[in-house]
Amino acid sequence: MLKNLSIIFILSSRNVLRNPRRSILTLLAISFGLAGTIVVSSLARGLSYNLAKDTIDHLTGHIQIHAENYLEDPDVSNSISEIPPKLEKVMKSPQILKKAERVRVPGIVMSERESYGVMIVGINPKEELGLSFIAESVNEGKFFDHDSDDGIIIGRKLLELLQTDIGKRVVVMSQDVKNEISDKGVRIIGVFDSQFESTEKSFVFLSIKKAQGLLGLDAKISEISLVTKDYENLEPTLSNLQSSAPNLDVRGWRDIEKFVSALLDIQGKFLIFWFCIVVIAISFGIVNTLFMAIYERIREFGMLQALGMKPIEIQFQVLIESLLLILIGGFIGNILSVIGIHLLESGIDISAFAEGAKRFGIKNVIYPRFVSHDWITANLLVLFLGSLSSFYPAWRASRFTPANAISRAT
Amino acid sequence: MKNNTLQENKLEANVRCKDVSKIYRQGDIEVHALRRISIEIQDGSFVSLSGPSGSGKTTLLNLIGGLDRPTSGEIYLSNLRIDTLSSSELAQVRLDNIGFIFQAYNLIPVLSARENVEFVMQLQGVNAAERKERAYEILNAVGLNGLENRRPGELSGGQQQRVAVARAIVSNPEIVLADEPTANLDSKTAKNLLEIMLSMCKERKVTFIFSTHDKLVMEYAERLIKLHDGEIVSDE
Repeated sequence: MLKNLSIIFILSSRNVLRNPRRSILTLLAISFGLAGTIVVSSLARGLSYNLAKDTIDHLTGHIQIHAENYLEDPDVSNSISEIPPKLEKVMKSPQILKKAERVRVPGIVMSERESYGVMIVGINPKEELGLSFIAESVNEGKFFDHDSDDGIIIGRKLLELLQTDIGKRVVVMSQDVKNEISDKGVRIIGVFDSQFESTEKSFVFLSIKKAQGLLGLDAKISEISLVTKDYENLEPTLSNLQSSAPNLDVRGWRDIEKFVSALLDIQGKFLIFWFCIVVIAISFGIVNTLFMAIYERIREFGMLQALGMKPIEIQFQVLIESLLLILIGGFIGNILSVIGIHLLESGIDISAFAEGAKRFGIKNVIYPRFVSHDWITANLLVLFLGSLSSFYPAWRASRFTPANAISRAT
Repeated sequence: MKNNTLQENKLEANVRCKDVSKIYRQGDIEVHALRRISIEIQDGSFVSLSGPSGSGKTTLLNLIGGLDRPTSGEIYLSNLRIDTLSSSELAQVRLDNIGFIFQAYNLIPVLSARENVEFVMQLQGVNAAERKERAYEILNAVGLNGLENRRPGELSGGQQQRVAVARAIVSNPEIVLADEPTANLDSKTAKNLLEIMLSMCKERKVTFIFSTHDKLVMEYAERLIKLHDGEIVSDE
């Protein structure tokens, strides 16, 4: 068969050009289907990326270290009293880009009118810079300059709920290490905004030293948040950290933010499902085109067999026709997808759905994010399923009895 | 190939049909296209199959060419029984031994006249230079000089039939099966083609079997087999 490849290829390529309108329509179906798949997947990936990034930026970081049982019971008693030297060493490795130590305990904040349950977070302002959202989200008042500054920073929504204002005093209350209620009056020095309304309602920030003082923690901390080089590939760093601190609870962000992680996993699976649906639709288009082309040419296939072409060579001819359509359509589809992603680089404004989107932590603008394995998957699926769907028409083309096929009226 | 296959691809052209019947089924109705036909055609024969429409001429031609299978009976090309071969083996037998001329030309529309003529040689593995030379030679012989690069759609019916004849004989087959080869030709062109075929028959011992209504073809034929209702009614 290989020796006849050149004549088979000539027949296939000329047959593709034989009915230009039909071929163009098939090419459009393949190219727009593929381009649509890639562009939509890049928007979905952009959405995922933003969600993951916002989750990480929120306060989570890529990796968190706590005392054992802290995540089940974030009480002052579950604090880290001393950082093991081995862990200190690993945290200074090049894989770790940023580190922030925090005190984080549940408590109550009271104004003269209202009181709310919140999470009191003691932070070192310099460490938070570039690690979490808080350093860049204080839009009214000021952020802390030092790790022992006075004052409290609260979210805008909480400010409303407490019916108080910047510059006024509130009382922060929690349970200290002696299981006594400890409270302190502090002045609101800053108000932060967050894309998550729940964050604005449920987090208040003190300087770490003031928080430790309030709770009687001395130098103890509740958590260490780390940012690594690659948030998607944490495993090696995570296992290094875990082995250097066997008595501490070291977890990646996906293990902490389980809901977001599940959401991203579902989205990844949904994308594959979406790819398959689109490619199956494309395959139907290819099968339809091939069947039309085959039934128009039954006499021709009979005649080719009469002249000595083997059934497998006829199958091969039809498969090459399909492959040519897929390859050309795929090439155009990839160019269209590059253009599409480029045109959407400035983002799609979904502010019309902003209220609903905010609940899920989705920003008002979605930016496409090109992910190479999605691109490869979409292309391979088009190539594989498109070719697979061509086998049946190709087989049919080779099954006509030559005498019947030749005597058939065109 | 099966046991009865000759080692060489080329077969001697002795054609034998033994008790060959062909029944077409159209729903519950059975149409007997051929009824226990037995004939033998020697190498280098120039044979005409004639008879009214539906007499079984084309069916017999198709069975001899391995384009269809008999309902019963045996068909041999030389000593090779062809009615039991697979589709792929039959295609190889046709490629190596049989040239076809169809009533409706049946050229490949996406190939030029020269490429159509070269097609069978290409499948046979003849090199490009030789293919080209032989194609030009035969097209010139059938009077299509200067039209080599035209596609079938750009040729008249007569010109297309000449291309079909050229394609059938260019690869030096042992047998040429022709179904109404002169049906769309003027008498001058028909005579010209018949002369070419007759000379091939004499010089190269190529066997020609025609299915025809054309008296001119019958005049050229050395043997006239008449069919009626699927049976041979005369063999002269």
